[in-house]
Amino acid sequence: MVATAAGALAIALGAALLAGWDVLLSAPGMLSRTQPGIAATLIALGLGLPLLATATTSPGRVALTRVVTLAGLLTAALALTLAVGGGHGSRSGQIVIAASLLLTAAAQAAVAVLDGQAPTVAHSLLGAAACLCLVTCFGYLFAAADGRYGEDPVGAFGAAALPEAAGLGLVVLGTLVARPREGMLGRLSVSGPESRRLVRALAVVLAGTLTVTGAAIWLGLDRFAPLLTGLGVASLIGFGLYAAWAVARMERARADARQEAAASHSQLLKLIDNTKSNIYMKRIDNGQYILVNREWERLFGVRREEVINLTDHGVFAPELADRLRTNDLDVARAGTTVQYEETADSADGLRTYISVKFPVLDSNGEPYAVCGISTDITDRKQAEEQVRRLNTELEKRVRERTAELEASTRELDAFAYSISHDLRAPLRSLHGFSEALLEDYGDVLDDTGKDYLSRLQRNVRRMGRMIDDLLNLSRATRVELAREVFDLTAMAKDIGADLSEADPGRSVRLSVADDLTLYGDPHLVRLALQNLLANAWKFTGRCADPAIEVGRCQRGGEDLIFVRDNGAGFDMQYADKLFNAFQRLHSTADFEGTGIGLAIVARVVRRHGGLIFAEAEPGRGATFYFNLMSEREA
Amino acid sequence: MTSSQGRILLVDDSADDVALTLRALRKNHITNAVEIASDGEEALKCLFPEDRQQPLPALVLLDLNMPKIGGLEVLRRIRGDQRTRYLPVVVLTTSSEDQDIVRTYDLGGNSFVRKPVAFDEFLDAIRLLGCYWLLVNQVAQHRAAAG
Repeated sequence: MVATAAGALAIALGAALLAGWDVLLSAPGMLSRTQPGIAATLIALGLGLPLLATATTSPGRVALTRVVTLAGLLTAALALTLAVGGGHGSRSGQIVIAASLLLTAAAQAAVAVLDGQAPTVAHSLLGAAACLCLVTCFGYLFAAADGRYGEDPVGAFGAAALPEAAGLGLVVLGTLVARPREGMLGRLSVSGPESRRLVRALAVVLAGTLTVTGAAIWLGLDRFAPLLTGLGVASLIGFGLYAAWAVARMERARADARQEAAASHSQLLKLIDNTKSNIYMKRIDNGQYILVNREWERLFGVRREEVINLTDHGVFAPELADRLRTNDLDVARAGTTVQYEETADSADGLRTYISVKFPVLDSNGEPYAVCGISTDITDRKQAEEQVRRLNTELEKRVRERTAELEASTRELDAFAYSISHDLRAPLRSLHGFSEALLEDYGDVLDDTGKDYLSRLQRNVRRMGRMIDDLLNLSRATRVELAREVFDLTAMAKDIGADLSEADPGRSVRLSVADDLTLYGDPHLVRLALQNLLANAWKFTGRCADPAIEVGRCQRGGEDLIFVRDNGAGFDMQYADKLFNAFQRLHSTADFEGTGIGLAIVARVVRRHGGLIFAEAEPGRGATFYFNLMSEREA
Repeated sequence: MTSSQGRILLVDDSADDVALTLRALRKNHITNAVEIASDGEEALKCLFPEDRQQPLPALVLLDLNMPKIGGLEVLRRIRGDQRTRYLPVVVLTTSSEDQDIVRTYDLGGNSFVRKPVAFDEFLDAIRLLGCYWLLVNQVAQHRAAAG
C-alpha cells in the first residue's frame, strides 16, 4: 500500500518536474531547474514500486517487473552521466541525487531479479541511497539557511532542489517497504517488551540527529557541512538500526529458547506420563511434592494440581508416610542413587514397588529435592513366592518318593532274603534225600532209577546256582558302593586261579596285562570280573587251545578294560539280549548257565557309571569291553 | 572220628534239615550225643535248665530263622550268661545275608556256615566242623562252670 502510494507520488512528481512545473516555482530562486534525466528516473522507479510490492508467481508479471526495474536502472545511469557531464542547476546536488537514484534502481533490480533471495544486497544498496538522500536534504537546508540556492559551484556540497530530494526520498522509502518481511526489514521487526525499548532508543537517536543538525546550522559551517552532517546523521541512524537489529535478534533467540524449553518440557512430561512406573519429586526441606506423573495420579487418586502442596502425610497412612520420608532423607544424606523396596496401598490394591531414588541438585550443587521412580514388582514377587512354594513342594515330594523307594528297597531286601532261605531249604532236602535214596537204597534201584535220581540232583544243583545268582544280582543293585583304587591285575589272576582249581581237568592260558588298576567297589567289581572270566572259561570248553586275555585298550576316546576269549563266541545279532537276566544265547546242553551272570556284570558296571559292550563272532571267540567312572568324574 | 566227649546241641526248626544233619554226622562217623531243639525257646530251655548241674553241650549248631525266638536272639542270650559265655556256637543256616553274618560275629558267634544245597558239599562242611570244633579246638573253661 505504502509502496504503491509512494510510487504514484514519485510518478506525479517526476512528470511535473519534466513538464517544467519547477520553472514556474523558481521565480523567487527557491528551486533550481530539474535535470530531465532525474525526472525520468523518478517516473521509472515510481512505476517499479507497485510491481515489486505485489508478490506473484505469474511468469509474465515477474518478467514485466524485471524489465521495468532494469529500465529504471538504465534511466538512472543516464541521469548520472548527464549530471556528471554538467548542465542544469546545482551540479554537485544533481550528481548526489542521480547517484542515489542509481543505487535505488539497483536495489529494485536486485529485488526483482533475485526475487527476494538476497534481500540484504537490496537493503544495503537502499541504505547507501538513503545516506546520499540525507546528504542532499542537509545540503538543501544549509543552502537555504545561507540564502545561496542554486549558486553552484559555490553552494553547499550536495545541495539539491527540494522536489528532487522529495522524489528520491519517496522511491527509497517505497522500495524499502515494498517487501517488508524480507531481509533487514524483516529482521528489524520485533514484538514484546523489547520493541518498546527499541522505540525509546530510536527516539534518543532522533533527538541526537536533530541536535547535531541544529548545531551545524547554528554554527554555519562551510560547504562540506551538509556532507559531514548528513554522514553523521546517517551513522546515528545506522547505529540505531543496528541496535534495533541486535535487539530483535536477541529477542528472537530468547523466544526460540523459550519455545525450545517449552517443547522439551512437554516432551519430558509426555515421557514420564506414559511410563508404567510411578514417578514423583519431593522437596527435601518440607517434603512437599513438586511433580508426579499420571501413573502416580492414577494409583494414589490425587491429581497433580492438588498434590503440589501436599506431603506424603497428606497422601498415605502415617506409618507409610513416615517410612517414605525417612527413605527420602536417607537419599538426600547419601547424595547418590539408592534403591528401596516399598509397599503401598494403591488403586491396584496392596502392591510392592522397587523404588529407585536419587537427589536432584540446584545450581549450587546442593540437593533440594528427591526424585523417585517406583516400579511395581508385585507380580515378580508373587512369581518368586510361587517358585519357592513349588520348590518346597517338590522337595517334599522327592522326600516322599525317596521314602517310598527306600521302603520298596527294604521290601526287595526282604524278598531276596526270603528267596535265599525259603527256596534253598527245600532244594537242600531234595538233594539230600535223593542222595540218601541212592546210597541207602541203591541196591533196589535199577540203572534207569539211579539215572532219574541223578537228573533230579543235577537240576536241584542248577536251581541252587540260579538262586545264588539272583541273590548276587540283587546284591549288586542294593549294596552301597565303597569305591577305592584297586589292583585289577591281581584280582583277575586270583579269580583265574580259583577257576582252574575248581576245574583241574582243563588247561586254559590266562594272560593278564600288568599294572591294571580301577577305581570302584572291589567287591562288586570282583563279582563282575568273576562272571566274565567264568564265562570265558566256560565258552572255551570246546576249544583246542583255549586262551583268555585281560587287558586295557582305547576305543573312541574311552579307556576300556577288555576280557577276550577264543571260545564259542556268539552271533552279534543277539548282542542286545546279552546283558538281560535269563537271556541265553546257548542251549543248556551246549553250555551250562543260569543266564544271570552277564546281567550281574552289566549291573555292576552301570552302578559305577561305566560302559559295557561286547564283540563276538560264532566260533571265533568273544571280547567284553567295560570301564567304570573315573576317580575324577565320580 | 570218634569223640565221646560232650553233646552236640542241634537247633533247627526244619525236621528235614535235622534229619539231613543227623545223616551227615552219622556218615562222618561223629558219634557224639545229639540233643535236638526245634526252636529258640527249646534251645534256651536246654541251655539254661532248672537243674544247673547238667553239663553244657560241647558244640551248638544254631539255625537263624526259627519261630518264636530266632537264632540271633538265642546267641545273644548265650553270650549274655556267664556260664555259656565261651560256649562254641556255630551258626549253620540257609542265609548268606551280609547283615546276618555281621550280626552273628557282633554277638560273639564262633563260626558262620551256610548250608550248601548239594548234599556232598554239606557232608564236607559237617565233617570239617566236627573235626575242628570237637577235636582240634580248645575250649575255654569258664570260672562259673568250674565253680
